[in-house]
Amino acid sequence: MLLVDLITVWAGFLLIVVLVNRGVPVFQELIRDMTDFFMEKALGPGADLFEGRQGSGTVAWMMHGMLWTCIGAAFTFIGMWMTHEPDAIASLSSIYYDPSTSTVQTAAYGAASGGILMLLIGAGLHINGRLSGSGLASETNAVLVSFAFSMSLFLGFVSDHTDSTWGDFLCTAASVISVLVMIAILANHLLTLGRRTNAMMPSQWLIIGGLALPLIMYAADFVLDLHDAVLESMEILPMLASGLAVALYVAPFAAGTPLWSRTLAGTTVFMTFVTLSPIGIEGEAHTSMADTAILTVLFAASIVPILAAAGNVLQTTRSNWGKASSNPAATAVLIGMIMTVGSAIGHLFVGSDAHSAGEIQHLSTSMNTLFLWGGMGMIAWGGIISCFPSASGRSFDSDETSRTTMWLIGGGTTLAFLFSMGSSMVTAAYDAAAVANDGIDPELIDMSATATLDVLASIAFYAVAMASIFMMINMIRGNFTGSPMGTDEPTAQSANRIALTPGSTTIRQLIAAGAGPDTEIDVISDDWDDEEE
Amino acid sequence: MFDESMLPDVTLGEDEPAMAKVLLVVSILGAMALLILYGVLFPGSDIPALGDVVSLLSGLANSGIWIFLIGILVGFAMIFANVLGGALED
Repeated sequence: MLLVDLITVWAGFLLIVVLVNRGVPVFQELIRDMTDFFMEKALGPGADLFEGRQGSGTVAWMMHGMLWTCIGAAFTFIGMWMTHEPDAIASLSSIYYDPSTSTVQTAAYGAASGGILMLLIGAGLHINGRLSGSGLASETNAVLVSFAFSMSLFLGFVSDHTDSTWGDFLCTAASVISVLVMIAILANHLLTLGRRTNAMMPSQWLIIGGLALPLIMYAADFVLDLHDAVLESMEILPMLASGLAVALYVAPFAAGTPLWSRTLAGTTVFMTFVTLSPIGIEGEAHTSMADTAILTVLFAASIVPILAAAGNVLQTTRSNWGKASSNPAATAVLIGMIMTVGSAIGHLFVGSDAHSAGEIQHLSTSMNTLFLWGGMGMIAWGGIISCFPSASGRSFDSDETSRTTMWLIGGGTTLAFLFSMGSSMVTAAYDAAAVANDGIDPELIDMSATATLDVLASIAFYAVAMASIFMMINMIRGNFTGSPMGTDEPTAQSANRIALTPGSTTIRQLIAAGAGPDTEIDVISDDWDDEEE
Repeated sequence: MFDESMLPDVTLGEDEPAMAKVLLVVSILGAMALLILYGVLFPGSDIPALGDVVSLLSGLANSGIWIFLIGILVGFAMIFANVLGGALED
């Protein structure tokens, strides 16, 4: 019964709140020490592969996440193109790669959502470490499990292309690995909280709840056989809660002011976990009319935390607009929150419709694009721009690239959403007209108008694919050669050693020759060699 | 307090846009102009795919998507080159 299952969700959230606040009675120390042991020492040689430097966990998750975001964006572009030209990459069949349009789109969504989730988790690791005041409990474990999660995404990507029993096996393996990784990340977060010296912030509640509640509900499903509608909504919760957590951290960080409203922040945390989100659901659950009514109320209530977070972020940045508007991270988060609100309202109608008439399901793909890339993607961008330099200890190679990519993602996603939604609405209208009038042959209807819209949508999304690649390059260069944080050293590499012959020179000539503040200068003269002889 | 009434109606600053941005805008406008010109000169014709222009790729790149995929492939190659270069530089 849906109502009983909802009470289970609320009980799960209550359990998280109590355990985080009070800890586990009697066994507190034992559990903490055991978890600490399993996080690093029990892994043996695996943990020794990584040095566990401060911030390395965040860097690893963000690097992997951005790579998968690039792959996801590229395949999303190909999938969009194949909507109007299914044989676009048919020539690759000569190397035995001949996927259908739906295969490419499924694989693209898996890679993109996994990549963006990795970016948000990476930002979450940094945020929890900073806000706790103690740093992340185990950087080594965070780095290690980032490779495991990346492997699970790879297995999922391959399984999406494999239409056989082996595909199912790979999908199962990917799911098992990703669940284990989530448990490890949650344990890392909880250990970090256990060592905190500061009070819990809303972002930390969202991070912990977003990771813990779905795990608890999936475990409870084995015992209580929960309603499919509840489990469907839990799938999006890690990404949604992490996105809100990043937004509530980045806005005050970029503006240099406290988060505007404590009440709105509390509302965001509470309502995120006691309601069910309609985002991404496909209406696979069989529901009665009464259940549909309850779901619709809960779906509508799930807009409240998103509106509260958007209002809080907007007012926080407004309170110091001069500083916030000059920071691309704040701009990205603001755009992301506005797009999240838009997609959440759109999903409210699409999600409610999924369990009833099913009349507007043609909009779900466009809405998913808006939520994933426009909402979560932009917030993840804000998380990267504000957290990655702090975690790596080096600034980006180019702040201007960060800003440009942000606008490319925002503009590209918005245009792709508008064009693809227009195309799907026109197609649905043609189909409805053909069904209503038996005299019209659907094959004879001229669909060139929707094909043009599909072309424009895919070309607009190409900006997103290129922006992801540019940002990845920016991150790599920043991580290797960016100027150390807190200094104004030039980003260009200087020569380690320069040999000079006796005579006069100028500082300008030395700099032109590649000298920097740490360059060692050797003056070598042939006369000195003669004297030594 | 600065008295704005002392300023003339129009003042000229010293800042200039970055050359990269100027080139980007000019490139986009140039690409759009070429597309329109192609439509005027060859009305009704599809834009040639990469395989139609480069004979070496005639068997592979027979769709317009390859013009875009080349950019993505070059991008991934740059990612790989940057990782390799950064790792070997130290």
